[in-house]
Amino acid sequence: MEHSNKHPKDNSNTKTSSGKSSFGDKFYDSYLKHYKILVVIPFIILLLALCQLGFQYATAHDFVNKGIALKGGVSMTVERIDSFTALSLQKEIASSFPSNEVNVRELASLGKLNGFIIESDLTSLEDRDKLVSVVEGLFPSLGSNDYSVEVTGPSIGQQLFRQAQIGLLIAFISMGIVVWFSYKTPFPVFGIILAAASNMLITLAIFNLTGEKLTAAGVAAFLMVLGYSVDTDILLASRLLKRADAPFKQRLLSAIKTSFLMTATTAAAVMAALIFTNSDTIRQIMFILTIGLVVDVFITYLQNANLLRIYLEKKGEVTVK
Amino acid sequence: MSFTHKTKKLFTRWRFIFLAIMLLFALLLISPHPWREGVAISGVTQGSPAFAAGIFVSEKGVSPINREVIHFVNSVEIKSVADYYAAISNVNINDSVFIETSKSSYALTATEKDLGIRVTQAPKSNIRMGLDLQGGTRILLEPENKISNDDFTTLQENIERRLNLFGLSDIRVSIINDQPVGGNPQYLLVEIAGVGIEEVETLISRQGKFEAKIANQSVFLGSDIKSVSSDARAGAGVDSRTCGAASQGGYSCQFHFPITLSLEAAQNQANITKNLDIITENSQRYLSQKLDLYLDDQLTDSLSIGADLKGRALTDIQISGGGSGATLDDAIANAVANMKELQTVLKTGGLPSKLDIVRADTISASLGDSFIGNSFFVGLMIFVSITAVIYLRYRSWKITLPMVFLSFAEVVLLFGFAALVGWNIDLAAIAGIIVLLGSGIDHLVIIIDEIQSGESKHESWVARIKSAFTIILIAYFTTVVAMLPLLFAGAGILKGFALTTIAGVTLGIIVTRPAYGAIAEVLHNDN
Repeated sequence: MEHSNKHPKDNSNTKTSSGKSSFGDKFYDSYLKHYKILVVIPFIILLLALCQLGFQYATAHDFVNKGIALKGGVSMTVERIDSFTALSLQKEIASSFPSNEVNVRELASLGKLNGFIIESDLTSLEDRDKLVSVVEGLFPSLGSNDYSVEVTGPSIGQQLFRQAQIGLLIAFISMGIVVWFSYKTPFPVFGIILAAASNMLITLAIFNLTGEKLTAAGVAAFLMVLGYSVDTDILLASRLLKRADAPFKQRLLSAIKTSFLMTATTAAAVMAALIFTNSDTIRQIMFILTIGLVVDVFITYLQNANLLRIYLEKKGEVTVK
Repeated sequence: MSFTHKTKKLFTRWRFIFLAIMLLFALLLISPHPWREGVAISGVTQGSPAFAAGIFVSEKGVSPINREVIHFVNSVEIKSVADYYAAISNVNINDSVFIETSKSSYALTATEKDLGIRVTQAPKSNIRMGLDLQGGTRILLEPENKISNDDFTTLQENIERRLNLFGLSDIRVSIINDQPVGGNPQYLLVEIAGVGIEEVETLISRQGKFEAKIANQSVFLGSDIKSVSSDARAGAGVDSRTCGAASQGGYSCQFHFPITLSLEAAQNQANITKNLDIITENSQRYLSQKLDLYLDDQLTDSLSIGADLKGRALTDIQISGGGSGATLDDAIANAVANMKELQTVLKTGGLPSKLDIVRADTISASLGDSFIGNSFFVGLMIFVSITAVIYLRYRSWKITLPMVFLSFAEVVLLFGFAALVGWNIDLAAIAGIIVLLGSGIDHLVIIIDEIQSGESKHESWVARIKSAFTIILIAYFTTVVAMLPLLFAGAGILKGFALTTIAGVTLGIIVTRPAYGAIAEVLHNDN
């Protein structure tokens, strides 16, 4: 039969056909053996993340570093470099606005500098006009078609942020309901919600630590992190809870392989975009998603998988030798 | 089984046929024309030479591909926006200009230097591009006072009319309601493609409360104006005789145009003027008080009233104003711009409330162009990377290629849907598509893995597919639910991301996943 030749390798047995254990098998065995310790690690990390968020809130009165679109201010994107660096441009512009915050970032793709993003907390339209004329003065070849300006009043940015938080809460609750109807047992629902929440909070903490400022696009990215982190947890729960026909070890391994592949494909798309895009909006979205994906791998295998195992063992449905 | 046999078998599966039909349909909707050149007419200013020659842009409902495209100006071929502006820069006053478009030919007489046609690069497909990609202006307005729902509709119509009169038709004025359920609308979002913010800012946000007074007594309001003329033959325009050097340097010019009042307003004016005295100034006889014109509570003009108008109900009045600039040309251009703005505001009437600009974005077209090009490149890189990852796992092209093909088919379907619905694709939407490419394939992975693991347990095909689809459906609902808040949050700034994600996964559930099931079936059931 041509069947077995075309069949991809199926190493659901921990021993290869030659009878010797490979490194991968040893790793898996070790993972299975130390599950009680491993399950604690994500909780510790979650705790650390909560500390970071708490600290952030105490010092900056916000859970996350907010960018212009959320705080209010002006953002100007200029497709020119002339002889400036981000720092030198920032100094020049800041000297015209001594009582305001001025920040200049690089607009780059694939390591090549394409221009600058100038941000400031000026909010009136007159101030914006002044900023535009200052920048036009610094870049003599700049035509009105070569730059973009975005002004956001402070109230609308705050509204977006507040609404995103409410939206997040609603998303969590609705997800809980959907999962509840699918599995009808409380523990998996709890496990999935915990995993999704941990994923989001840890991603947020890491984002804060990188020093990046959250834009409106970043808010979308966080909601997306929520969306797909649940995918891998749902797969895990389905495989482990519904099919009691193979030994647990086997089911877990196959579930891990599938969900790892799922994460890998999404990561491939996201990282390709992160590396090759020239848009700052897309870059921040992909950056947050990348962090979220890496954290997801962590959470799914260390926390969710092991929690489900503990639950199943307690129920007596599973014993792993 | 041979390849051709398998392919034939594939086409007997209705799920695959469904996909094929949908893809064809999507491609028709998208209507790609990658080699198209020329500039599309995006707006015609009223009263301009183009307007007089019969060129117009139909209000709504024309798909991008069917827009009128200029191909020749005075027999010079026009391929780009730069070409068009180069061609018309050589036009002098009273020249004849012959314009050939995809629909017809027009003969214009250049009564003014600005022919009044707004152009953008001719669209290469039916996909509407958002401001991020096309360049333009986006302004979010909030009324200073609380106004009713009806007032909001009036506001929307009024601003649309103002922009249309000004020659801008590629616009979108939407009422934004922040709360998903109930609540009153709060904002007005104005999006105009291809236009810089300076042009429209004052036009839009100006309340346009017009009032004429004599000695602080109200004579007539904006609502009493029955008609406003922009016709040069009726005397509307900049009077070059009034142009001269201004005292602070530079030049200034005056404009005037006639308006017609209602009979009641004219009678009211007569009642007031009949009580005024006559004075003599520069050997001319005038009434002792002037007619003061106020726009948004600011005095814009004071007109002397001729003595013979005392007690007479006059319905025709001349409104005048001015403009200044560093050079004579600048002064004339400025005066013309101010005149057009005032005419537009008077024609459309005052807005129900003063408006605050809470967000104003100007996006450059060249930046937008570079994003479009880059997006294609990123798409290619994503294709390479996901193919690599999938192949590394399954080591089989039979499995890899259909999966990658279907991921991209999903994106084509999504674009087809966007073309059908008239969606604007912006950067947030593109981000949504990138994520869709990566996560869409996740569901296909679930299908393949369920099939394979079910195989080793000798499960029936139906059972395997069923368990795969159960997982997929749960994942689908959670994704949709996570995206819903983005549809409303922050006055819809992230709507593009949410819509593409929701539409994308929905199309996936309906079309591509089942098709993949069919493909997998054919490929694996060799027996």
